[in-house]
Amino acid sequence: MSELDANADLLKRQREIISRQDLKPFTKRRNVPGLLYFFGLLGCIGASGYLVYIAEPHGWWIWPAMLLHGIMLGHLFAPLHETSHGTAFRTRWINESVLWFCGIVTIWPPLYFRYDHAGHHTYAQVAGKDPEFVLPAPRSILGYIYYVSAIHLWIKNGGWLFRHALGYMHPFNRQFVPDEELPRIYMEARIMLAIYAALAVFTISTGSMVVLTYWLIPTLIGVPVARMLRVADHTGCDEKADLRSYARTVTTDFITRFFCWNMSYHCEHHLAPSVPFHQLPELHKAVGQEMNPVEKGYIAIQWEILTKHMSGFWPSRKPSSSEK
Amino acid sequence: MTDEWQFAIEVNEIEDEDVMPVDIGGREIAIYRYNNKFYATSDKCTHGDAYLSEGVVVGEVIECPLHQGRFCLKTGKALSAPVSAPIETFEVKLEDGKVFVKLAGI
Repeated sequence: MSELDANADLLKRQREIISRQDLKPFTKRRNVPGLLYFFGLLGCIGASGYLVYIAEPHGWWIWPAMLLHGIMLGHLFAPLHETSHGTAFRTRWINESVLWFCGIVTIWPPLYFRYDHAGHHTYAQVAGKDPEFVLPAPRSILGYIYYVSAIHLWIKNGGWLFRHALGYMHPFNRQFVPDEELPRIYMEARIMLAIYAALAVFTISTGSMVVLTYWLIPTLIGVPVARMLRVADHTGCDEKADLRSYARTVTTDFITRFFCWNMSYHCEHHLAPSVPFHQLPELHKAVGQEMNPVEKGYIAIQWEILTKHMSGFWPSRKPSSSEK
Repeated sequence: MTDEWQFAIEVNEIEDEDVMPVDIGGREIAIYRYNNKFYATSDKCTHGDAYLSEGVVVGEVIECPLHQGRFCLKTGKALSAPVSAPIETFEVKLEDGKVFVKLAGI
């Protein structure tokens, strides 16, 4: 199926579940919820950073503090994702500012991510086409560990940054980006690498551990929690273009929904990505039962994936062409 | 080929900050209303071929329902990824509670 056919099919399926008129009240944009969530998350990051600060003189206590801080930092992926859709805020400059801030902190090139993620929404769960296909079948426990460890993430995102900075894009990724946008994406990568290089120069020249202690090491050790949330979005669901069954909506608590910006309502998000995160619980009430809600939380889903959706410990084939 | 004003839709058929699709002589046009100003553009997104009339109007911007690419209603300019090519815009006038669009060669 071509990209245009896939898009037409996607919209047709959306309308089978909810009409445009019924969807419209859910799509209204507001600034307040996004500001509350974003500054709430920044407050948590500040608090966990303070824990790192007070743990610093106490030997190994710094490690659990940095882990907690890293978990907080890893959740910046949630506003990065929401602002990439442009739905986090009504005011555009706020949306774009938050997108860039989160992109730099989480090391995701924000403009390229927009194209990549558009490809994901068009081809979700279609092997070889979905650029964000998480652990396609047959999947292995080692593959799960590799994914959750986020090693793949640093290889992928680092690959994007360095390739794009050199003026090259992998052919798989290239299919999602129009020619005229390539210069901007390449410039984005160069700006981001320049920022990281400046931080590296600062660290080496001053001997300061601030960048390592409050950002890089916590990010490396804390981001697996955010990766586990991502695994629950699609992994083990139908691997075909079916809005009702290719994602799952996870039953979870208010705190987790706060940190993931309601992406636990993942079926509803894929049904209508133009619905802002703060309206997803209401959309769930309206159509959620027609989708794929599961009466399980994130930890139970990890267990289900590990016990029911694995073909073994070792990988049985090479990874698909997704996730370049 | 001359431009002609074509009836598109009744004013009261569009709510504020909303969009409606119309078919004028086989051409798919989207009519928008924001703050009692009306705009008209081609209805197809230049990125994923979705109907913009199924999208979300935010001020003087239409956002595509599929991937949230954004276009300026006044100029048709593509404002943000993943859209990059502009959409066609048309002149609009109001008469007797009706919206008319200027189209060529219908």
